[in-house]
Amino acid sequence: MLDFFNSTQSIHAIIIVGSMALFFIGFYGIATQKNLVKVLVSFDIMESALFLFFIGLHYKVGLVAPIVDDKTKTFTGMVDPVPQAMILTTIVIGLAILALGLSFGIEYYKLTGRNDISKMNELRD
Amino acid sequence: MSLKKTLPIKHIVLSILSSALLLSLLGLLMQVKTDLHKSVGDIFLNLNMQTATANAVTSVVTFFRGIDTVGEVTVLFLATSGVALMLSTSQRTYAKIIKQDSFILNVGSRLLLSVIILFGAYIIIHGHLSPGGGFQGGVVIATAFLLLFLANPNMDLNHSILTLGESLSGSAYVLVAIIGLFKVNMLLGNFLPHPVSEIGNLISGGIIPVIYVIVGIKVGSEMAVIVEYFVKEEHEKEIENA
Amino acid sequence: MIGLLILFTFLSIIIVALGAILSKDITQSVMLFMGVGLGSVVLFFIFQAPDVALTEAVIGTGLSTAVFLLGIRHTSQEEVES
Repeated sequence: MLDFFNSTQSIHAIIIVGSMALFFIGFYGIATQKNLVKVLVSFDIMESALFLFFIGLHYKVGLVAPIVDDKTKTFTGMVDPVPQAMILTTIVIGLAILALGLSFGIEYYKLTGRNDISKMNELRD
Repeated sequence: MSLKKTLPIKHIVLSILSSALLLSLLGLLMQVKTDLHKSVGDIFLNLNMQTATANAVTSVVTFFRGIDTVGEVTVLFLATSGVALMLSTSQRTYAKIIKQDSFILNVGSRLLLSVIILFGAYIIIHGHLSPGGGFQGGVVIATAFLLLFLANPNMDLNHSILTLGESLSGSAYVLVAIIGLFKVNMLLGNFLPHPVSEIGNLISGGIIPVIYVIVGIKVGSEMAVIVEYFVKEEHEKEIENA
Repeated sequence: MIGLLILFTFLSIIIVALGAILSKDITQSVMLFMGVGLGSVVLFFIFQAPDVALTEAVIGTGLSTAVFLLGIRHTSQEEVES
């Protein structure tokens, strides 16, 4: 029973199902929540699901982290470093984008006194 | 005429076409081999011994995909400018808060500041040997400034030093890339000596630690500016209420 | 063993994320969002990506939560405004 969970295929299945569930939880939040801050939180949850999906699908049982040390003299039997590098930069970008969106929200609240996105109709006319 | 009206030909054709598309997509998905034997990561891992860095992720970020990092740092700069544009109101004539902070909080935060900055510098400098690097260490340094701001909201950051560090590090990145173009005939070429036997030492890897230090300075100053704007905004609001 | 660990960590992340979405209080929502980042750190470490785990620990649970908490002190704490 435990061996079934430890194979690469079942780990990949868990990762796909789990990160898809997390992604759609975030999507549900964006679709239903009215508060601007809650929408940003949902956005970040979707982002986390994406990171888990990308990193997780390149993990296979038995591979080690792509850092050489005294025991592993050569770069063999390691996980793919390219998605890790891409996701590393994406997390930093995500923080900057979060700060930008939150500053828009703060400025909107200071101008109108509201942060309910269903009542945003200033540009209607 | 009535037959055409009752029979929804358009819907039937559309559903047949979409189901055919779905089936072909499923067929394509079934043909994808999950076991990719030769990906670009394997090629980078094979080439990685020549760069003489112990951490493969670092060499991918700064050397193999270094141009991507230039674009990423540009996006970070643009987002920081957007935050500054949004949160810096035209009249920033806030008075100093009269409320005195506690002595222990003030001294403790100043004591912790040096330790946190030292830890961030350690993470940046050892980026090519262990997990870590410029992005993580820069953000650690920014959290040190966050602690300082939370303890003492009256403090002013020296903006000229931050602007100087940010712009000089941005220029230095491009300069390193162009020097590589002239000396090794390759943009972002590794023009410093990087013998493979030195792998694992602190001075190894040629330009890769240099680039990560530059990225660390840039990310640290930008994140510190973002944190400062968020803290100062609140400061202004408190004055209005008082 | 490692498969069960991944499964339970994913389940706890999903529960915390649901709590963050469905909570009525904004501060509570932000603090529960920090839990999503913490679970992600554990999973990145299991997936042999220590660089990404360090980045997520510093940014996803540290500075991101701080920016959220500094930002929401301007806006109202209630979910629905009158």
